[in-house]
Amino acid sequence: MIAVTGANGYVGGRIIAHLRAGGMETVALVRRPDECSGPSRRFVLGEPLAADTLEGVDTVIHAAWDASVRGDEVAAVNTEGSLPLLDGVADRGGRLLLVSTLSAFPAARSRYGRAKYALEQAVQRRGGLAVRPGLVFGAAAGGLFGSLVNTSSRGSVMPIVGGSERLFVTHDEHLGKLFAELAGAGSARQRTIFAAHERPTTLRSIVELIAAARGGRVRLVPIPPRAVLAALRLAETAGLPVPYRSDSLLSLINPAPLDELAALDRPPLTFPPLSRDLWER
Amino acid sequence: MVGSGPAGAATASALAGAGRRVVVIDPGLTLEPAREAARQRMASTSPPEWRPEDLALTSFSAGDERASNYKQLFGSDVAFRDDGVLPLELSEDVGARPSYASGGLSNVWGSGLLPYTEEDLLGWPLSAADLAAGYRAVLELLPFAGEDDELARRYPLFIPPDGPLLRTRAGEELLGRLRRHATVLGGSGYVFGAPRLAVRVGHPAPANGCVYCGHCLDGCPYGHIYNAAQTVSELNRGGAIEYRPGLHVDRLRETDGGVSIEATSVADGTGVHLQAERAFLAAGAISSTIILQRSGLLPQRCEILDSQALYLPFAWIGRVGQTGREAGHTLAQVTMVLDDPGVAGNPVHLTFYTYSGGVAERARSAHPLISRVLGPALEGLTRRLLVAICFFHSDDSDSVVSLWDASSGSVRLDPVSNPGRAQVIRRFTRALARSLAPLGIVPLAPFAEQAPVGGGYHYGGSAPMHGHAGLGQTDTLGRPAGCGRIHVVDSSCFPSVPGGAITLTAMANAHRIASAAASGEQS
Repeated sequence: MIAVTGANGYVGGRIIAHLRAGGMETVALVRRPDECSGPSRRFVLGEPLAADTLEGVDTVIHAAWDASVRGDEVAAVNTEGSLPLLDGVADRGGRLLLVSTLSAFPAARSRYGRAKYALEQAVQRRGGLAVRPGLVFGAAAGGLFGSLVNTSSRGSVMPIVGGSERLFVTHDEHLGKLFAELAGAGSARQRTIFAAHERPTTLRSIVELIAAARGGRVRLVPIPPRAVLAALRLAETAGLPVPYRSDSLLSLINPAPLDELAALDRPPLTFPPLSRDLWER
Repeated sequence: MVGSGPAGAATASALAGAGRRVVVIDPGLTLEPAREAARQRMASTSPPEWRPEDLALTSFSAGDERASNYKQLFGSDVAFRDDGVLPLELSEDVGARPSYASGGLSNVWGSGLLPYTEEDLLGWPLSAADLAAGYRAVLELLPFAGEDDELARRYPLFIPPDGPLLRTRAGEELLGRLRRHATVLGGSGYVFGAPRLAVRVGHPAPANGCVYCGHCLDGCPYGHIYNAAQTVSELNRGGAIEYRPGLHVDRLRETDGGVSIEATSVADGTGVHLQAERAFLAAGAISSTIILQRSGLLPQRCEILDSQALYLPFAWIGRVGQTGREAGHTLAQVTMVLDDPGVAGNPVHLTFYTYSGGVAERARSAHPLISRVLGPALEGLTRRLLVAICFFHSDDSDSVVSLWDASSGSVRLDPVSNPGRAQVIRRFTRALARSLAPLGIVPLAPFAEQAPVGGGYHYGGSAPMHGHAGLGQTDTLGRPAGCGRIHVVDSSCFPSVPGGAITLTAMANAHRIASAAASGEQS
């Protein structure tokens, strides 16, 4: 049986849906099992693992991430908080597959990137495999892409921060397919996998593409990243609601170095580029 | 087969594929043992583990003064080193020089791959369709980094590329700026896109592809930038061909039922005679021309056409990313073509390079006074530069004349000036200023450097193919007038040298000729 943590979230939800559509036996490991439609068990980052959480489970796809925490709590909750699960899987001789991110690399500047990278290492030490998707998109997408779709359709003039940095995109259904292949075939792969379309795009291009798909044309006004970063941090400190987290912006304007990307393994399937027909279904 | 460069590799591959027995001969100079050992040590580890002494030994600036005017491989002058057989006198104003190295000029090439268009082939006895099969075959042979982008509308890809070679942030910004103004630029005759490069981009790196270490201009220790010596070596190892380095070919002569080849041993200067059923000449445009002259198949005074290079720096205006402070490759980041009859009669090709250590070094040697005044600020300023290497059609370039003196047994290369060239360059730089300066990419025409004729290594055309070959010409299978078994297969048989990448077409045409010869086609 394959367990998926974070199955109530965007990426985890897409993965478990794909596994179930393929007839695989799955269980969702989530904070609130009652909100899940299929078989589920309770799992919370940072809490000790219940005795029956991993019963009958041979593979765990770990997608859970608590995005509500800030500062040092990012690593404490998400990286340290994952260790009971990782140890539990390792003790049972199970297989670990981590949903990581292309923002994870040794010299990452964002807390998110650094914490994910530390988690990758913890997974690898236990014989598991990390998969790094880029900006995940798809129909009714959540995450950053969902926010972009919502904000890009609002007006003809839009501020943009650091719009020309390299950005890789990952179609959610293909990501689900990849995890199904990795979990199902008992893959012997050990090296971290790059899980995105090979040709990078930019935030600017994505916003323009979304606007064009809506039949409009957006005029992008570049804003200095440092100023926006400072403003976001100030707003977060004051507890004000913000459309994007400062840490996400830090990841965006400090993409993974090319040598880091080149050293990653490639998946057994080809990820498509961003296209309207893949997110507007 | 005479020569192991790109045209030789393509020919050898086609002939071996057709089941012919192939012997490849050339001087076959190789890297010095100390540098080859350093390269091997580097290739067996990843860049952070490279030893400082190996890096110093193999850097492009490691060579001595004598070699500083020529491109180097791992700090070595091997690509242009004299093999000591033929006295060759070079005029100061000539940059062309024969390569006696195994792999020829592909030891130091920019690895650009772009086919010729129908317009480029005007005056050729061939159409683009005649070359298509050759392009496909050669691209299957080469590593092929590229993207299916706007460039493909004018320059077909032929086969899907292996994948993209990722650009630096500055390269991405440059292409992004051009794309945002694509309509206006297109109206002014510009076509642009991602470069197509003969670079391996498999994963994971460094075992299977580029690791973005930034040492491309020194030479790739992993061999991920294609070198024709790789193909020749692989075919030789597999028994498909026999490679005999150490021979400098002097003359070819058709005999009854074959070709007699006279060569000189590079090791001891003794004469060597070989007999072949058929001979394919791919010694490189300079050496092939000289061999044909010495064989009486070209006149003693013979013109070699050049697609002359102009090195043009541009200043970046606006945010350019962390230019030069990131991992990246240092080959071309963007390819651009300006096709405006008001500027030049033929398209001009530009390949844009973002920062590399060589830019500041070149600035110091070309402009010592300004560099001294700028002091440490020079490094920072050069990080805000782009450099375009611009290649002009041979009609808009100077040319080289090869003078074979049979009495002294020596060759001299002299420049031949093209009076229209200066005017073309003026119109070209003005056109760039009009079109690109508003985008924040400002050409610095006063700092442009014209390469000496032949200095861009895109030359040929001494034995042009012609539908009805006369004296000094070859037929469509590269055979000099009156010959049936000698084929000139390198760029020497080009009727003109269009701007832009020359190697892919040289290889495709060589493959076409070899395939036709192997199948017994007569014309």
